[in-house]
Amino acid sequence: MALIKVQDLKIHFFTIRGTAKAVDGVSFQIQKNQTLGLIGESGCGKTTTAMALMQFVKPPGKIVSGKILFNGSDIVAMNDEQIRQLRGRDIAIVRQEAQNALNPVMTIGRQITELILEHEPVTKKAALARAQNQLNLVGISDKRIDSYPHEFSGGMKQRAMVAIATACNPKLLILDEPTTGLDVIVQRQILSMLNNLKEELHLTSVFISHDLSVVAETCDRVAVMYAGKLMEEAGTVDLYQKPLHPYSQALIGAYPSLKGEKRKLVSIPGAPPRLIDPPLGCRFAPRCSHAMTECNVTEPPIKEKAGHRVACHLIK
Amino acid sequence: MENDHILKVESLKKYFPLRTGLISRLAGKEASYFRAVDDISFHVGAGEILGFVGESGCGKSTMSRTILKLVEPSGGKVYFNDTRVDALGKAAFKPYRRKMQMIFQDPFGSLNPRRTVSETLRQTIRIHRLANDKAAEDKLITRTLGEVGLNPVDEFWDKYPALLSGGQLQRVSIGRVLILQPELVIADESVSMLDVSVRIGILDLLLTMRDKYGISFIYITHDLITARYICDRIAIMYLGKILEIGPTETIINQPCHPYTRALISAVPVPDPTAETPELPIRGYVPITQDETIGCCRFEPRCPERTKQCQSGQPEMAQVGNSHFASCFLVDEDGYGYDN
Repeated sequence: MALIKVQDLKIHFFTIRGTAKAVDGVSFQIQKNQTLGLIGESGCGKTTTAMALMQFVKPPGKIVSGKILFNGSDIVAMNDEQIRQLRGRDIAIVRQEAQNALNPVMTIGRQITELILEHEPVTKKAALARAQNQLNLVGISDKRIDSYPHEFSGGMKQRAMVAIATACNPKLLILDEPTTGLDVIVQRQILSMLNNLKEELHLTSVFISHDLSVVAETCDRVAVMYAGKLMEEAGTVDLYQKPLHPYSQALIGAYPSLKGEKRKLVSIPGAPPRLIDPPLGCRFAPRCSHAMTECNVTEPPIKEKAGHRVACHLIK
Repeated sequence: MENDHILKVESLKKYFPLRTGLISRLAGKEASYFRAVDDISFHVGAGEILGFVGESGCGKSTMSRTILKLVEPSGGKVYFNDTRVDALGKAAFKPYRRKMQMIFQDPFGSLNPRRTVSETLRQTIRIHRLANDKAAEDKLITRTLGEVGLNPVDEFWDKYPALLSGGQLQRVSIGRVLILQPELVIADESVSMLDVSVRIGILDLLLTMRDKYGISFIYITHDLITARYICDRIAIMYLGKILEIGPTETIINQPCHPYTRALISAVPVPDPTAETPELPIRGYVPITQDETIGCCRFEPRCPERTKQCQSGQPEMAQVGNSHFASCFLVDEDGYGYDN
C-alpha cells in the first residue's frame, strides 16, 4: 500500500539567468514500511524532490505542477496551517551535517520536548519521559538529556537528530545524506541504529544518498535520478544485479569495492547538463555511450515491467 | 638517497597545549596536552603512494601539516631526500616547499573565487619564477590544463571557480601543484567531498602523476576503498598513533590489528544481498585523551583487550613482509596471531 504517491512533480527555480528545471516530471511511490532510496549525482534533484514532500521548496524555487498524495491528501495543495501540522508530526527529516540543524543554545532534551509539545496534547513531564526514551532508542544515554549540541561528537549529533525527528512517530522519515561526512565506523553504527528503528517504529522512509553501498544496505527500492528526471526505479537487488539504464550501469560500474578483485573502474566522462537549458531528448544522451539519434530528439517515456521502471529508448 | 626513501619520519610528535585555568596553574597543575600526533615513524619510497587511513581526530591531517611545516613539530625528525628539514628556519625551508606540496579536501575552499583558472595558475608560476615571459607562462598553463584533463583548454581558461564542478576544481588544484614539479605530494582527503562517480577520475589522475613523473604521494583518507584503489602501502592511524602498516592487499585481506579489522568490517558493500557483519568494536572515539593515557590507545574500544593492554602502547612488531602492527596479541617472534 502506497503511503506517498508523487505524480509528475515539477519544481522549477526562477533565476535571473533563466528558469532551472530542477525536478522535471518525476513520478514514484513510497510503499508503507519500506525504505526508498533516491540516488544520483550532485544537482540531480534528489534533495529538492525530498524537500518538496514537506513543501520545503525555498524561493526562487516553486512547485509548478504535479501532485504529492499523502494518504489521499495532496501536499502540494495544502495551505500553511495544514502543512505546519504535517511537518514534524507526520513527516520528519534528518539532514546531512546535523550541527547546522541543531539549535546550539538549547539542550537536546528541550529540542525533543519542544517538538512533542507542539504537536501533541501531553504534559511536560510526559514529554520529558518520551524524550529520554528517544535518546535511548538512538543509543545515547538518557543522562545526556541536558547536554548541549556542542558537547556531542559528529556521530552523536546525527543520532540526536534522528531522536528529534522520530519523537512524534512520523509516518514518513526523510533521511538526506545522514551519514555523509561521517567516519566509516560511526556510519556503520548509525545505519544499524536506523535499521533497528525501522523495525521498532514501523518507519516508512526515503533515503537520499550518492553512496551506492549505503543505499544497498538500507533500502528496499531505489530510484535513480539524473538532471531532474527519473532514470530508473526498481527493487534494490533487481537494480544492482540487473541495471537497465546506461546511467545506472555506469554509476554501479564507477563504484569501487573493498573486497574481491581490483578491477579497472570507468568514471563517467563529462558533467551533468545545465538545468536552465537542458538538452532536448534524453538528458543523459550527451554522456551516454549507447546514445542513438532518437535519444537526442525525444525524451524516453518510462516503461514498466514487473516492478522495474526505466526511461530509456534502448529498452523495448 | 639511502634506500630510495624520499621522506623519512622519525618519532614525530605534535602536541597542542590545552588551556588550564589560572587557579589550576597557580596550584601547580601541570599543563596538559592534546597529543594529536604521538611518536610516529614511517618512510615513503620514491614513486610510492602511502595511504594514511583513520577516523576523524586520529591526527592524520595534523601529521601532514607538521611534515610540511605548516605547523611546527613538537618533536621528532623529518628527512627529505636524506636532508633533515624539520629544524630548518623559514628561509632555509623555502626551496623545499616547491618539492613538497599538498592537495586539500575542499575543492571550493582551495581556490581564490576572484581569480579565473588561468590567473590562479599564473600566480603560482610567477611566485616561483617558472617562466620568463607571458608567452612562456601561457604555454605552461595550457600544458598543465591539458595534463589534468581540463579539455578543451579554452573553455576553462577564463572560468571562475563558481562555474566549475567539484571535480573540475580539484583538477585545477592538482594543476597548481603539478606546475611546481614536486617530488612529494600530500593528498589530504582530496576526493572526499566529490561525488563517488567523479572520484575515480581524480584518483586516476594522481596515479598518472606518479607513473609519468615519479611523484610520491601520501594519501590521507578515512575511506579504505579509495585507499585500496591507489595506495601501495597503508598505515592505519588512531588517536595519534600508527597501529598497523603494510602493503595494501595485506592490510585489506590479512589485517592484524583489531582496529584494522573493525574498520574493514565497517565498510559498506554495494551488494544488497551481502550480509552485514557484526561490528567488532565497542563505543565511540573518546572526546578527550584522558581515558587512554598510559595504555594502548585502542584499549577502551578493543574487543580483544587483555590486562596487558593497560600497561602502555605496544611497540611496532613485524608480522609479515613489510607488515608491522602495534598490538600485544602479536607473537613475540613477530608472526601474526590466529587469523
